[in-house]
Amino acid sequence: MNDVRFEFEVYSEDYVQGGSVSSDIKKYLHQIGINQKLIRKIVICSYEAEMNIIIHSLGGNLILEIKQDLILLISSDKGPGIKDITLALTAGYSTAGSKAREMGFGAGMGLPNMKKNSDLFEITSCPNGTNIKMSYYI
Amino acid sequence: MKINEILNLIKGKLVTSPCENLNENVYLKAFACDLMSDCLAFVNENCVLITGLTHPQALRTAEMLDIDCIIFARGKNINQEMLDFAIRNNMILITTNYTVYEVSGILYNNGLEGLRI
Repeated sequence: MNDVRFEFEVYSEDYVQGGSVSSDIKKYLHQIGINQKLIRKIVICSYEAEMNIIIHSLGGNLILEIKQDLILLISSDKGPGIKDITLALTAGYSTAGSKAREMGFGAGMGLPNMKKNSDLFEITSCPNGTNIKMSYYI
Repeated sequence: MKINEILNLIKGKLVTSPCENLNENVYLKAFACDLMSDCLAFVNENCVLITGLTHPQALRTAEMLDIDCIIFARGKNINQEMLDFAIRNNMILITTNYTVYEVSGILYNNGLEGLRI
C-alpha cells in the first residue's frame, strides 16, 4: 500500500461534533485492516487530542499518516499553548472549565492517556500553538 | 450476564437494542464512571459501562472503546440525539432509577466483575 495522509479540521468549542473526526479515523483504520488493539490505541489518542483542540485551543487539525510500518497521528493547534508541559503531563492535572467537565472531560488524563497509548510521543508548545506527534509501529 | 438478567436485576428500561434476542450478548465485566477520560484510560476490555453522564460524549467514548452496552443510572433521560447515535452504532442503552453505586453493587453481587486496572 502506498503511503496515505489525511488532514481533518477541528474547530474550537465545537462540542456537538466532538469525536466525529476520531470516529472517521477509526472506521478508516478498520477498512484497511489494521489490528483491533492498535486501532484502539490510536483512536484513544485521536479522541483525546480532538477534544483537547475543541476544549483548550483556538482550533487546529488532526493529521493521520499511514506508512509502510508506521502510523503517525499529529495534533496541531493555533494556541494559546501549554504553559507547563511537565505539569500538563501529570495525571490528574487539568485546566479544563465547566463546559468540558459537563461532557465528562477535564479529569487531567488527556495527555497522559495519549503518551501511554502511543509508541512514541513528542510534544512542543508555545503561545502560537501546541504540536503533538504520536507514532505507532504496525 | 445477559441483557435480560441485567434489566431484571436493576429494574432497567431498555431504551434501544440492536439485537432481537436479548440473550445473545453476554457480559462478564463492568466499569462505572462519569469521567470519560478515565474510561479512556482504564477500560481495557469489553465491558458494560455504568454512568450517570447523559451527554452525547458518553456515547462517543463508548464508540471509541467498542463498548456496546451502557447503563444510565439515577433515572436520567436519553435525548433523541443520543438515541439516534446509539441506533446508528448498534448500542444497547438501558436506564434505571438506581444510583451508580446501587447498580454497581447489584450487578457485582450477581457475578458481573469489575475491570482490573
